Amino acid sequence: MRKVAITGIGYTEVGKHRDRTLEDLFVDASRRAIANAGVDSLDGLYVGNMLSVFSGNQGHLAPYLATKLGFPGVHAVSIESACASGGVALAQGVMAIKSGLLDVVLVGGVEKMSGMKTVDATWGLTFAEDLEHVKRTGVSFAGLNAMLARLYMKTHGLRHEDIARFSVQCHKNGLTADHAQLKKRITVEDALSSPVVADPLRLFDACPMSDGAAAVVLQADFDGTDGSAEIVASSVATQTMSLHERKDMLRFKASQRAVERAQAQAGITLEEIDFVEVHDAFNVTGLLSLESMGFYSPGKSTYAVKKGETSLDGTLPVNTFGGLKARGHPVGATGLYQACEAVLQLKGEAGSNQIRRSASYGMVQNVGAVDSTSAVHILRGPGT
Amino acid sequence: MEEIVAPLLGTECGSCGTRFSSSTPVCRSCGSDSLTQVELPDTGRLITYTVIRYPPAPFIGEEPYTVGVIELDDGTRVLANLRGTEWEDADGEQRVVLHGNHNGRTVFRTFSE
Repeated sequence: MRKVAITGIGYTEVGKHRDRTLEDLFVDASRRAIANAGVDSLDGLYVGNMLSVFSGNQGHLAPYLATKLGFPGVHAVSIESACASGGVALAQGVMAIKSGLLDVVLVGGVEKMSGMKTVDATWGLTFAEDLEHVKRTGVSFAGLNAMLARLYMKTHGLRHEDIARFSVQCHKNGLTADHAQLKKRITVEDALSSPVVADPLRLFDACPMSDGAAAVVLQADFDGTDGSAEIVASSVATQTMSLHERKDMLRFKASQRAVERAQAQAGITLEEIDFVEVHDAFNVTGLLSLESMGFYSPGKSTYAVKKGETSLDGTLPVNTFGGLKARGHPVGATGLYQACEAVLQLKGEAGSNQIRRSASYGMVQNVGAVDSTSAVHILRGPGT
Repeated sequence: MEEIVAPLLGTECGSCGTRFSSSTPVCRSCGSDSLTQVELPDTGRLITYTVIRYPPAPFIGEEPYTVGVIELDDGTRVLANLRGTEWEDADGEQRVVLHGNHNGRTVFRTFSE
């Protein structure tokens, strides 16, 4: 199969863009990526988005955004996998290139959450879960994660400050990330005293509601010799849809499977991964991701955060630009923000957020619902 | 207020015996499609719970309310509401019993109530 690399990246600032439309954000990010790649045309477009039908009555994003972008004839596909839409869209683009079907592909993710009232946004996010259980109980997405958090802390004898430290670290990285939504330092005390969202989760345990778009250009047969970040593994896995049905609710089997498959594809071990962007929709999901992916044993990721192992100058930097918590989580775009950030690290262009150790391999993990879908990619830096 | 307690219904796989508390056309344990409706036990243990304060739109006005994961005595997992909002930390040993089950809503309560 052919090689595939990211030859261009582009993204908007993450935040509440009340005056900007979804297509505006998407075109902005995409044109930056296209200019960054230095290409004139595209063969294909893959779009990741979760809620445009619900929030903006706009479906059929593939030809809509292809037209808005000025490429109305291309092979264009929309992907919806809840919060994993971006990562899954990336996997589709990779597949199109590696298979030989297409040569130059733009993969973009976009979300506009700010147009919705809180109750509607909350309702929209529950679409990631099996409706039968939402209708039966009124559970929210935050509620599912809250039940997970309670079980996690109980099982491993953890206290709230142990998970809150993950949010604190994310904010520290977000401080210097130009595109981050939240650029302010928070302390563990701030986190523990923030308003309760769903017991035991508080506001600072959760990522914000965000708008934004991010895009990458993928090209065939490019790799490190061209100065590009090569995608050496791409894997999408799933597990039992509903959290409560899983025998071990603390095991993110989709992420575990995706990582195992990705490692096999790339032919590398976890020890060779220099940094990882995990899906911290809530700090507890970031921590459980690290454990299920195999970086730390169950219950131990909190100690790693406490000891500084996951900081920018640690042994395994995590969420180097603030993750979902501080950079933000424009739902369908997050997977592409992760990819763009990984490219910045691998090319040594991360500025104040550059990891101290040399960046040869980066892993990005983008999850839908509570690990019902997991899209994992491994990228290799040009210097490797 | 008297709660209506209709039997808690689930699905059982005729091939491997696994039970599900949600609609199941194909057994996700063994792949069989020979599934029948069964009555599930009305008691179990509470694994974890939360109190919803920011409901999804269709549930506005009901908050705060409690949602929990219950493992029924036959091992079947169910997501249901719990009566009240003052719950002690569930330690996996809290016993619960079906309190109400009608109109598409299922509510459990502690044994001691």
